Amino acid sequence: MGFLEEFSFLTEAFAAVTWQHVVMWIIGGVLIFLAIVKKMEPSLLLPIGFGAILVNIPLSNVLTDADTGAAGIIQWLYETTIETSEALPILLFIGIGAMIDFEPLIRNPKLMVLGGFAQIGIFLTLLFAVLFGFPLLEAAAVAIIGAADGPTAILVANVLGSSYVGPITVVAYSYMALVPIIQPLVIRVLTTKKERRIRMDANVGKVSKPVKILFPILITLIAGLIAPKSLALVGFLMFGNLIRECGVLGSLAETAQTTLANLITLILGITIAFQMQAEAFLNLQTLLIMALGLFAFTFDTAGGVLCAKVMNLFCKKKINPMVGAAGISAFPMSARVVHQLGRKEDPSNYLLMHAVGANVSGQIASAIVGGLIIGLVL
Amino acid sequence: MLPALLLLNTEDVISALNIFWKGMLAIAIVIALIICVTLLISLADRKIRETREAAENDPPEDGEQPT
Repeated sequence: MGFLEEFSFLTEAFAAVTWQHVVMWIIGGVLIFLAIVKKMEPSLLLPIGFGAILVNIPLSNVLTDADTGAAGIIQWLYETTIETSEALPILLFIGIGAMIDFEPLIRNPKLMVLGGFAQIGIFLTLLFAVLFGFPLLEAAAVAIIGAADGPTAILVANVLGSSYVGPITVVAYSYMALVPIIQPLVIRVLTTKKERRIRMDANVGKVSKPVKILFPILITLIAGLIAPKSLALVGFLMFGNLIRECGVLGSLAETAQTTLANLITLILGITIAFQMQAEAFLNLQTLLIMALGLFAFTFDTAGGVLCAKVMNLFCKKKINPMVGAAGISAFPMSARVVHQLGRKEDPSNYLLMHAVGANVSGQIASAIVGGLIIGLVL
Repeated sequence: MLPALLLLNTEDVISALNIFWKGMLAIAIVIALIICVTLLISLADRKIRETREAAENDPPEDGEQPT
């Protein structure tokens, strides 16, 4: 008996395990499975999945240390880099900006309309979330899943003080990975075969270097002056792009695209797992957030497609409505999906550059809408 | 969830509707501005390039012809 008592510390954690912890381990395992086997957003879902297991092992020191009361590593990372400063999602935008080539958008600026209108799903989801009983702040945090952009979703949900940052992040990244399934369904429902075969002009012509340099600076000024709350996201996105386009910071641009983006993604995934503790994650609201996330992605896609169809009523040069779907952000997967769909309808139809144009406009628009939501709700 | 549906907070619904139209209007304004600015800088750039090319392609004046 004395021997067992002496070594009871070895069984303390076992005794503290609840069925909720076990469910979270399974969820973590499923996320790791999806990341490795199905290759769904592996860079994010794998760290989140493993983190979900980590933070649901009772009495560990990754959260608050039970003995000393000090913040564990994951708690410290979350409180320092997300909760108090939103540093990780914002810094990730430098890497994203450095990856983006705005040339297709500069060549055909009217594609920006598609990016803007494809954000309608965010506002519709906000309305539906309120109708489903979420308080306004939580509804806005859930709606931002429709931004189809992980860092924006994390930042907005955190700034709004949402208690669902974990589910929102997981749902946002999961649906981004499911874009190749969700978008073709919506597109097929809303378009005819004839519309899907519309060809668009190649839009040849070179965008000069001064224009490419001026573009991020001017977008920063416009977004900052009209929607100041979006400046952290848009500003860092454009900063990354300026590094890329300036032509004198080649190695920094390379670092931002690869090392910086990879490092932040790695830490962001495991840090966000702080919000995946069983007591916060396992509730009916998480299921509802999953449903609302799907709703947001569906209506974003529909918004872009329908916007393109309306534009076709007035424009001389027709837009393939599928390009509108790429306006949802989810860069660059959405553009790729649209291009592949176009080629399936007509193998000689190349929509990639137009889709990329709409896609990067969605990236800008989603960051701006994130800021607008914060400004309008708070 | 059903009770939540029944106990609808009308104040939040009205706020959500307000955010809807204000947000869509704001994004429309931002986009219109971005389009205008992009078109303007592209136009200015094209004009500058055309002027420069025209200057380069112009034959020298008679007085400057080498003898």
